[in-house]
Amino acid sequence: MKGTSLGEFEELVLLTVGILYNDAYGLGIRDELEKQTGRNVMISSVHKALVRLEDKGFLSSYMGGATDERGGRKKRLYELTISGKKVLNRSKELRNSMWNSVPKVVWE
Amino acid sequence: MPPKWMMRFFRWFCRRDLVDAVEGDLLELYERRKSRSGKLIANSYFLWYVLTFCRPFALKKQTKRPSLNPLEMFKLQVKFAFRNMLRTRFYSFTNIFSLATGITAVILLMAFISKELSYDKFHEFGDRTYRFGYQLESENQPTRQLAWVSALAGPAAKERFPEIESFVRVRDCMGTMVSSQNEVYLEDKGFFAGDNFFDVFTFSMLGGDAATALDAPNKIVLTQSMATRYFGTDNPIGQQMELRMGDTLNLQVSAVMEDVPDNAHFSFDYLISHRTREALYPHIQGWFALGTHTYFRLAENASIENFSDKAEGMVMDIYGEEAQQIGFTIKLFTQPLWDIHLKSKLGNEIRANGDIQYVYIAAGIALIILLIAVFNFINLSIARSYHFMRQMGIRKVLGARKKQIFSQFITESLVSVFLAYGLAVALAVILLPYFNELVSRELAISWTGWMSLATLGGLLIMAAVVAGIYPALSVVTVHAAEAVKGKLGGRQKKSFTKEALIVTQFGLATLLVIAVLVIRGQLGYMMNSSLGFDKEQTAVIELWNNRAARSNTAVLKNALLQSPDISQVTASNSIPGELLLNRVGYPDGNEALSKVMFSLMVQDDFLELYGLEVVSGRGFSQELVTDQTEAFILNESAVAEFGWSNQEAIGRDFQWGSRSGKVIGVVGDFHYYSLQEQIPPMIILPTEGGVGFMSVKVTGQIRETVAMIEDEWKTLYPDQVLNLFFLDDNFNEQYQLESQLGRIISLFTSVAILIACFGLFSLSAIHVEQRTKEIGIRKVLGASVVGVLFLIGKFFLRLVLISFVFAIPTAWFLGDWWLSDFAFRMDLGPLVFIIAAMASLLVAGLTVITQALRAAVSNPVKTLRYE
Repeated sequence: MKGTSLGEFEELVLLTVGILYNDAYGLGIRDELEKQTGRNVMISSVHKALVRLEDKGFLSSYMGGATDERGGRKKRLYELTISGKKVLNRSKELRNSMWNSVPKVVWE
Repeated sequence: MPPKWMMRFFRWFCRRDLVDAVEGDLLELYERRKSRSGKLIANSYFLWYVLTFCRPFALKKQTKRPSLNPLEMFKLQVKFAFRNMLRTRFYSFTNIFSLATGITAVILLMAFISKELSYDKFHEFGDRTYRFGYQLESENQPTRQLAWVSALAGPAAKERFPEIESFVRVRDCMGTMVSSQNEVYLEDKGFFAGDNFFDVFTFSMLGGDAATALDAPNKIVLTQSMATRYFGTDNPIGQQMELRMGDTLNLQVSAVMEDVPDNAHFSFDYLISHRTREALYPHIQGWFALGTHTYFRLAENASIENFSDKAEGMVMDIYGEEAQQIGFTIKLFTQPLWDIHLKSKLGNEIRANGDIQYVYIAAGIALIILLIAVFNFINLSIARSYHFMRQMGIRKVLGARKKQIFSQFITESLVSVFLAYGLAVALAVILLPYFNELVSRELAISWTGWMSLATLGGLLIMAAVVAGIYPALSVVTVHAAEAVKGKLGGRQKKSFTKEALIVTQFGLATLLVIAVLVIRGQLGYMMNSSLGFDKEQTAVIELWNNRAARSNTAVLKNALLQSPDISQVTASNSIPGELLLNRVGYPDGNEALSKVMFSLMVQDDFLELYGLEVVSGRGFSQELVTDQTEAFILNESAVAEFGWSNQEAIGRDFQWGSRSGKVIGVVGDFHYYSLQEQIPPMIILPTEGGVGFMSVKVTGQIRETVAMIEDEWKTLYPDQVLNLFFLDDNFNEQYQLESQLGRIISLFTSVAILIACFGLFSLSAIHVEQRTKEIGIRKVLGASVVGVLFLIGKFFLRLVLISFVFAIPTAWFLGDWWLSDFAFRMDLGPLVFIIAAMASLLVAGLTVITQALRAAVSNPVKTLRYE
């Protein structure tokens, strides 16, 4: 297993896979990311992140339906694995606890 | 859809498991983009996206195969290479042997070439050392360049031109040498040399001080081998020696130096200080008293062009008036030291130099032989590989990859090349002494030589790779199933490569044969053509060092004439092939008509002994007293130069130097020098006693007569060493370079033809083998033996004939170029080419026919059953 740390972009991709639930494939993830963040996202960066996340065991994939607009190519559909969910949870918890540790006065 | 090539490119680099998904995404994007901005823009976006995937995560992984131990594989391949070689012993042997022969020849020739190019390179300041020469110009006469100048030129130039750092004068000096220990030898390899000799030239000293070795009269420097010859193991320095050369010089050994390397353009055994000569002959100080070679070193920052321009007029500045009177302009010119051996062919060189032409010719032959050998190797490797078609087919079936088949073939040819190379180096080392004798050089396979051997090795490895790849390609392209059956696939078609290689080989071999014929022909022409005088049966005794004999030739002459084996004896100041005095002469008291003439001073029976033909007037007569002082005989060239007919010349008043007299006769032109040179305008006049050679016409047995002359000499001049040689040997030494060249080319041509024949022999053997079945069927159907011979023969003979088309014009061009150097040359008629062509055709025909015959007489029952 490669390292289990999570980059910022990787976390976003992981979350997007969760958002899209049943239809998480490369281009779909990119579109959602662009919509959510308002940033320009390269399709190749998305795929790179997907490959790495699958290697780390946070994602699993299966080949899914082909459509005409894809020139008859199948989609590779991604879903979160248990450790994927865990790692998202962990990072959220970490964030929350750190949020809580910030003195109120800071926000005023 | 985006352009196909983009998709193909993507699929080429992208890893398999990603292809579908990513391609689908890209196509979706493409469709979106197309509907928005059109096909063109969509295309370029598509390409851009594809390119962004050229990142490690998306690239194909190196497919992992069970890794093969490379060392084991290599060992296996080498083992197979040897097995395959043994299976085709005959081809492998011819292949390796002919390649080795070729490489040996090339190694030897390269040793020769690098030696020729190394002349005088060992002098520390050689790059800015030059030699002065005289260029004689006068009206109506060709300009003449001489390698020597007056002894005055060096010191005068040094005084005038600060660019000259150092100069040295060198002048021939020979005689009978006697040491304090009474060792006596005739020495002819020595010089008077100026103080700065060891400053201008670089030689290492074994004893004594180089700076002072030649700075006073009567000092002599010996080379190591000469010192050993006279003094053995004693210390030679400080010893007394005596040189008898007319005058007797008393000398003291001041230093001993290493022997002169054989790649110096002049060599010597001893040097006597030039001051000795100055003390001895202080009166000889003319600007036209030649015979001194002058070398100088230019300052580092000076340009030789500027210097030459400045120095050119020096002689005329000092000596102008006098020179004008004799009708000359003398210009001083300079020659780089490094050009002398290969490029200088002036009159009066210290010794005959080499010739850059021969370096080119040697390089050309080396290249030709290398090409023939390499082509042969490639051809034979290709032909041989058909034997392994089945083997390779089985390898393919068992899963051998292309790469492995390639490397098997390349390993095999590399092994052959290495074997050939090793064999060649060994052969070269063994043959070097014989080759040295042939070219009369002391060649060595030196360090620089090894460097070029390495280059040669690189070239051969390239050839090996080519020779391996070509058959490998033809196997790889054949389907495994076909290959297993031993079918040749595409190879049944005529192979252009193979034919082109044979044509080139035979073209080059024919070229060499023609070269041999031309060089030998010209040599024979020069040696055998009539020179206009009789050079046979003539012994010559050199008298320059024997004052007693020179001052009274009659003593020796009469003694010799007593013998019944000697018919005539005469004496002269020169003999054909030796130097002649240049001096001006003019007719009718008209100095304006002055011409430089080569002057031969003779005793009155000279014309008779040498068989010179008097074409007009008469020869010298002993009865007429006036003939001894005021008779001149001209040759036809001289007569033509004055613009007279042979008859008009007779009876003219003539002035030559301080002598005046009448022209009494004209002799037909004869070749005083080699046929390479024009016949000079000559004047023959009675000698005033200044003779240097006695010519003896021998009618009896050579050996006994020579012994008799030796006895006679010993009785008359007991303290002098006799120097006797034969006129024809001496004269033919002028052709030494050409006869050497002839020998070298003949040898290497045989090598080239041998290699080419080896190639043709094996090729026709393979050719016959491949057609065994065809020939069997033909014979069953009634083909005759002759018919089959013709069938096989015509394939090869056609190629040999085509090769002539390329070879003959090239050979004609080159032959003409070489011959253009000779003043008198043979005709380059069609005969030479016909003979060469017939010879090549015959050799090729015989080679092929021996193989074809085997097929033609074979029993068809056997050949058809061979499967």
